Amino acid sequence: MKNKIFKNSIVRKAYLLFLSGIIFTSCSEDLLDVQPLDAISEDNVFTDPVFLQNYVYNVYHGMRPHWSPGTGGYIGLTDIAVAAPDTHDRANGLRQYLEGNITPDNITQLTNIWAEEYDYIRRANIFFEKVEDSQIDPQILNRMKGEVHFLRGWMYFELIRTFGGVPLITKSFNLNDESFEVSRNSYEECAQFVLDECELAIGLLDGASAPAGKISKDAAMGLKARMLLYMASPLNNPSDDESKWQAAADATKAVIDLGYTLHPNHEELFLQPVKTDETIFGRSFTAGTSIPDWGYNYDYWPSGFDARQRLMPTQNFINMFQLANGEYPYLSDGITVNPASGYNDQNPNEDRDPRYYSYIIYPGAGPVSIIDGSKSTERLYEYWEDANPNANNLPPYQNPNKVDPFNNQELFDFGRDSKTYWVKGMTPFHWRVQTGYTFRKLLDFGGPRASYDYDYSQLTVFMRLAEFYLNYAEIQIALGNEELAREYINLVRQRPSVNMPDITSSGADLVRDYRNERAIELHLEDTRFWDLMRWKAAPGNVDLDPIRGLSSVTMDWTGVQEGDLLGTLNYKYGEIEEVDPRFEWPGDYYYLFPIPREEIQRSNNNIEQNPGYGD
Amino acid sequence: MSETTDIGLELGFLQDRLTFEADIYKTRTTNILGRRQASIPGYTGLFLPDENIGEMESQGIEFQLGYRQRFGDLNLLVSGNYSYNDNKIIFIDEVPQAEPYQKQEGRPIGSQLVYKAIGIYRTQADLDNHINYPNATVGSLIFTDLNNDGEIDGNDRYMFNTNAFPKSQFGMTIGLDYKSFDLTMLLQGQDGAKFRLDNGFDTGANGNGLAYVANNSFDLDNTNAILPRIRPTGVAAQNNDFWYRNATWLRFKSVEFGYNLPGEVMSRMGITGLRFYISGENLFMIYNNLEKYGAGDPEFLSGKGGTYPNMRTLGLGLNLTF
Repeated sequence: MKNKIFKNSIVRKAYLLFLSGIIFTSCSEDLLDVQPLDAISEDNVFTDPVFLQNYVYNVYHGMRPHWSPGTGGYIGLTDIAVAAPDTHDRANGLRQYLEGNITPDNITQLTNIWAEEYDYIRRANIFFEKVEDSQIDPQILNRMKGEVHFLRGWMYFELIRTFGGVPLITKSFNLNDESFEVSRNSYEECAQFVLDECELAIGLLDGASAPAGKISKDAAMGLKARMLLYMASPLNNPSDDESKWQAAADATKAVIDLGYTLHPNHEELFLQPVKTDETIFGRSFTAGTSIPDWGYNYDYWPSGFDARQRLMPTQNFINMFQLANGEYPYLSDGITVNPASGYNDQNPNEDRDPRYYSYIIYPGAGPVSIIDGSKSTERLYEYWEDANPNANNLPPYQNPNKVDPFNNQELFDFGRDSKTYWVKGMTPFHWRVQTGYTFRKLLDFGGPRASYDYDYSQLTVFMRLAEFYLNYAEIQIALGNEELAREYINLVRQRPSVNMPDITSSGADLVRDYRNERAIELHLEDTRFWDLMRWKAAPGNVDLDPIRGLSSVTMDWTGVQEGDLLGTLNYKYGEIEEVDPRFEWPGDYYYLFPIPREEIQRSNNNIEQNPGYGD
Repeated sequence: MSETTDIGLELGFLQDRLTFEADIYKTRTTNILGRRQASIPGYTGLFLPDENIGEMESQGIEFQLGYRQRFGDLNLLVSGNYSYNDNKIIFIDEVPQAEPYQKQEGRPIGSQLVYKAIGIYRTQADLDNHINYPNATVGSLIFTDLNNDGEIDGNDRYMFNTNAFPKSQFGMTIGLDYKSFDLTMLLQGQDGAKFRLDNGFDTGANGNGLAYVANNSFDLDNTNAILPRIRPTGVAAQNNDFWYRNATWLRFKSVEFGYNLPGEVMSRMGITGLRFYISGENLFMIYNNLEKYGAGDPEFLSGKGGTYPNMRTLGLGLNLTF
């Protein structure tokens, strides 16, 4: 019966369609001259303020999230993290970089930012060409112009810190152009262009309201301050010109004086909604706004959670976290325990900087709750082998806990994040390079480990007050005002949820304290690699060798009562041999990436390659 | 759009017991959909749709030879075929290359820029005696300085045919029947496809590698190895002609042996036809020049042999007709 009705309705529709076909075919000749109904015409895009705003939002995608390129960005090229070889989607590029073998022919295996950013620069250029004689209300249009000036400045900022001076392209090319030949502008010209774009944006965005996630006048001031800091840094300021530091100081102070305050709890900073008290510019990547490859989630969850774990903190990074008394756990060799600290390397997780517990998952950390279908659970990070194993880790087991009460997984003497767990085939994800630690910042354990539909709560913070406090401290160190520098470093340490003792060091110790503070506060925010570049501090950091971590962790279950989650852990610290080797830093030329060879050929060799890369 | 010129010849001798066919063709294809992209720099930000701008030429030749003969109760049918085809690109929008030997035009489809390998650095002396790329190490491949500029860089790569499709294909059918027995056999082979040996050893999900590579790669205990060291980076890791092998093979594709029950037996049983047969497909390779690599079926070329091969099938059958 139902079927019949359905059929009838189809027949009726078809009949109507047929009739309408007859009616429409008799229409006038204008029929062929219609606006497309399934797409928006170009004219509409640039004359309708709503469409135009959407065009501008599209240009926002030119701002890469921090986990780009690939997943994990460049942090795996620094002393604070290692990337798992082979499985990382930029593994080849990362390895060639660390072996000193990046060339114009393989640079795109590491990053394709050259083509990506110029694509968005063209979109920005087209915007300015199309709105030249626009009829749109200037108040609305100026806001958008300000956004696009900021974005174009941002893209050039990214390009020049990667390649040095690049061709400044401010007009869109057309296919019919006789020549596409351009040559490179100097670093100074490009940096000045970024500053000019910031000034234009500051003027155009003045007085305009900016909802969270949108570019504001404050963000443009932030980019300007950041650009000036890069210009004053050793890489770009070989003569240590003090006026460059002073310009950076003024611009940074202007950002600090905007009235932002540190968010009281550092753990909340990277969770939606944007914490507008501290965040100057941040945005969320959600299912709706195409989070690329789930961001940090799937790729940084521990492998025992059936995730890919492609990036791990090094012991170097762990050692940067002081004890709550403000002392480092180790002396500067990273091996000798600092006697003043009270640190015990067999009880390493006691009394550390509160950020340690927020940012690092260490053996026994947790419990962490995982929502992943039938595997959902709440458990510790079980990175340990059995201290008293039987042959082949076979039963009987001493662990009095036999079953995970949440998901009925069987429990053993070795942990579920151990190599043995993988060797026995209980997690499908290969054991990779492991340091014993996992990053936690920017992870969302509230959602499934990998879903295109789930609206993850992480967000990307492009600029926040803490960075500018630290930038200001760095500038003041360079200007010789150590007192002022300490004051701003201590402001970051005094955040209520952190509340670490003030630092009192000076000279080289102050530089070390500053750099460690910055590494901890801003890790995974796309800063460490670029900091090492602009400080010219790659030797000993980028080429750090050996990479140390927890070379062995064992668990002794002797005497443990049922329900206790931990027995006695024994830690061994040492070289992680599975890490891809890092070769000696090849030299100063390596502070800039090579330009892809094809781009030079396509410019008919008008673009000059960076020195040191041949040609 | 394509234009084909084809000349064919068919001959029959001995009352068509011996037949011969030949075809020679030449096809010029124009307006091939391709991207006008290669010559346009990325800094223009122009990302273009495909256009009908490509042009290529292909030519080939096909032969077929057949022979039938009856010797008393024995019927014999033999037929063989052979085809060869080649192509070259007439126009493609390519990157303006630094050297003439880098042009894609005039080369077959599937050509790539690769380095020309001339050996392996086995000793420090080898490193001292050659023009080296940056960070060359013992155990890596030696590349040729094609443009003689005293350094080895991307301009020393040349356009090299890496096409995984065969240039020639051949086959042979043999049919025999004797009284109530019949036998059919098919041989099939090809030549001219490029196989790229993969010497990768990953720890990841694509793990594993070929035993041949494990046993024959350069290391400090095996400096006379056939293959260079595994996992190089930089120029040493760039694609080069060392890894490509011509795939030539001939396989015993299928066979069927049948027996038809004689007519008088069947009529007594009240049926019109009864046939027993055994058959086999993909039984064995007669010749396979890639066999030593252990990379699997050469018909599905894969650097590590990770693809499914042709399945070997054995059949035992009975046809009953009423």
